[in-house]
Amino acid sequence: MTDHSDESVIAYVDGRMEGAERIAFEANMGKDATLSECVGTHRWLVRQIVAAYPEPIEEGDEQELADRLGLRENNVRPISSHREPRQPWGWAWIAGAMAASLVIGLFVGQSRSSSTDSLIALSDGRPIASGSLADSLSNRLSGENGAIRIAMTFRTRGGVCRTFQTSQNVGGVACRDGSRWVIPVMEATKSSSDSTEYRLAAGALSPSLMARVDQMIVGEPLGPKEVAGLKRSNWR
Amino acid sequence: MSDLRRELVALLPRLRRLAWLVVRNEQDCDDLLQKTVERVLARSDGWTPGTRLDHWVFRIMKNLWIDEVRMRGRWGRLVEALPAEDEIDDRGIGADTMLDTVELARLRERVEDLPEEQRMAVKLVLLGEYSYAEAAELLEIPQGTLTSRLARGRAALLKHYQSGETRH
Repeated sequence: MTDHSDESVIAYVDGRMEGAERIAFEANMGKDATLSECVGTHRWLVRQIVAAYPEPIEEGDEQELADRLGLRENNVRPISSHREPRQPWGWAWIAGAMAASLVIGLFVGQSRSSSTDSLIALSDGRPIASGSLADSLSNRLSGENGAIRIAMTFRTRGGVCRTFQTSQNVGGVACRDGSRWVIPVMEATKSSSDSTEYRLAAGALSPSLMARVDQMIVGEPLGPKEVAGLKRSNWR
Repeated sequence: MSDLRRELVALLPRLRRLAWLVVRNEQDCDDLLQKTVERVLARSDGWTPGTRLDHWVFRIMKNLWIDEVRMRGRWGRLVEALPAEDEIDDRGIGADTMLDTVELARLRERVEDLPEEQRMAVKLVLLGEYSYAEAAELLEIPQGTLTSRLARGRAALLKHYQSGETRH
């Protein structure tokens, strides 16, 4: 094949080659079957890529889109205007006080009405892991322990945190604070059918919870060996 | 309504099309569009009137998506599955005569599996029909880098065919 780079072949195929360069390229194609075949192959590929995406999304009417995005009512809130300042952890991370109280209420209610122990206690207004949740966070390396699943362990600027999810459909992040596990993030979703039940979507942590974790994490999630080392050192 | 807001509204249909090129499914598309609009309004001081609003907005969108991809890479289970093969119809150019729908679906997977930098270059130029200069400006890279990414991405796609993965 005559000396043509891949870039020049695709530039020709894409119609981005003009003037004398194009004329010279086409002259070479006439003399060089390999080059001509290469051009044919790339043209075929372009047709296939276009064919593989046969349904360009409807662009939509601009006013309809503006309504949907709240642009016409002047009510799109810039993210920065309502985002909490980043902290290693703290009660402010909770999405809302109401959600938090619902979650805590759930645990308290269950501890009263069943044999399930209380998983969360309040200390100076802050939720602290207790009972089997505290036990799982302190002693489980990972995985499930009956009603509680410990998914991942990671470092933050403030220390070590672990994610958890309970069979009561509550997920959260617990962070080591001295000898306790403070819970700066919890989430639950409300069932549409029963106002006394709360659930998370199927799967482990919700996307919003993982987004919170992503804001907190320093580095990558810790592996089994690192977690085991932290457990031995009492999570310090 | 401010000038920026008015121009942004006029830009929305095209912006949604761009979002569709960048992401992998409609849900992501709408989420990315929403986040982009929020970010644009939050950083409205960063736009100089008289300059290309579409390019500025797209760069914001692109960076938001790159952040999202990085986060999903960390939390791999969030990555959305590609559309099922039976969702790919055969109305595309040449679909009836050159490849069956399964092979087109496979090619689409290959495109989506390209490194992000190559995938964006391929999509903007071949599906978005942007010129090299426009695509390079949108991606904030020199034109030579764009053509290099285009060539590498397309070479990788051809390699799949030449390795006998499909009937071609």
